[in-house]
Amino acid sequence: MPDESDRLDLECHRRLRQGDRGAFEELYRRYAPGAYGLALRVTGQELLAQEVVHDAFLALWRAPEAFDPSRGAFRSFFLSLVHHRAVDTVRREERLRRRTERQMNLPEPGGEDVAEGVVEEAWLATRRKEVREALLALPDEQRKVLEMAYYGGETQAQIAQELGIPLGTVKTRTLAAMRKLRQMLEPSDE
Amino acid sequence: MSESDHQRIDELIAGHVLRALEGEDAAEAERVLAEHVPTCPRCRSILDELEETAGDLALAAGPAPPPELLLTRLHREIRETGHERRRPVGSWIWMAAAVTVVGLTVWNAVLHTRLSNEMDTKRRISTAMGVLSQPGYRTVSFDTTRKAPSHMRAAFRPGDARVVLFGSNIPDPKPGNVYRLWVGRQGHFVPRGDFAPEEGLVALLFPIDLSRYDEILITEEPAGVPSAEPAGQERWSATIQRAA
Repeated sequence: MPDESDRLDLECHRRLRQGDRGAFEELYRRYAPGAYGLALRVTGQELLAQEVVHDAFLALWRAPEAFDPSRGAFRSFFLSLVHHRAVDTVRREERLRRRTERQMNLPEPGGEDVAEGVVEEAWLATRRKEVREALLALPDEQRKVLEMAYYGGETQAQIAQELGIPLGTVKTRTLAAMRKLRQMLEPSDE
Repeated sequence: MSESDHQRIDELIAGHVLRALEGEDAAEAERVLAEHVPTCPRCRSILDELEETAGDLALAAGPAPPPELLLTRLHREIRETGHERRRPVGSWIWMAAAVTVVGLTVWNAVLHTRLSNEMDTKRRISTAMGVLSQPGYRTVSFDTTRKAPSHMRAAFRPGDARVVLFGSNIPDPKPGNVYRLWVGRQGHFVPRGDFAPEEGLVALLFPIDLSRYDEILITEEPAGVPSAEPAGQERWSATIQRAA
């Protein structure tokens, strides 16, 4: 239930702003596995991923007011924070070239996550499946630029060079992919 | 604004939320996000939607159990720092010390009033005075990209890992932003802390040996969003001359 999940996040965030360490632990419990999985995917290294997640949670503790509830879900805010940090870390470490050799494709929809022992809310698991299915429903050329940017941490200029296509085409495909994902993932009004 | 203009802005926003822009595109996105998006309901909506979609993309990476020691480490650091915010706590104190040494002659009466409620005021002032009154301190003046008159300086002593940053007529960063201090050597910058002015004044102590660097830079960045290299708009910069 996204509404219930969002409500819990908002309550934790409210308490966090008051310096409640219990709220911090609750948010860690809810989002550390997702954050670590994302950071691991982007950086490709456990130590770097650990630093990324550490810095993101510490930034959240120090500046909880950076999240504006009127602008969207806490989950999106925090995981974007982790993603940005992970991308910046990768660029700083200059490991882009090595990472291009890594497997870029996502696991098949319905495939099991490799992470054992991760307990997460059923709603998150369902949403994950929906996102993966939506990604696979994109045209190949759109999914490719999206994955290279988001999970590969590459800039659009780098993607254009690597794929041998104009930068404008990368931009157009990226926007088209994001719009289609948005349409597919938008909650229905029913 | 034409449809093609909005298409261009949408592309910039998409690249921005994916952290995939660089160079001129990144600069243009920053300008659009600062100047156009806040005034355009359509673009604000697009930004929120694409940010949420980017957040969904994070889920597809799949969860992984973080190292058990990570939470322990966070607990320790939180205990040590308390609920510390990236605000210039005690900046009035540092300003009082800084103006004494560098000859800025205003604010002292105001400062002492403001300081009256601060804890361990005497100790902090004593520390600041101790730092700045030592022989061999140098000051560095910043160039600014702002049109409004503002003055930012840093005081340091080669070999001493402490820098006092002080400024006057410093405008507030945009809502949701902070100023970020960077130090650089041979073009590679590292962030050393965030701050915001209090009523136009800045006075902070940073644990940095500035003599190890050749540049010091202050950019405006989104609050709470760490960055490994300067990404926001540059506000003040200075070159650190090697001592003769």
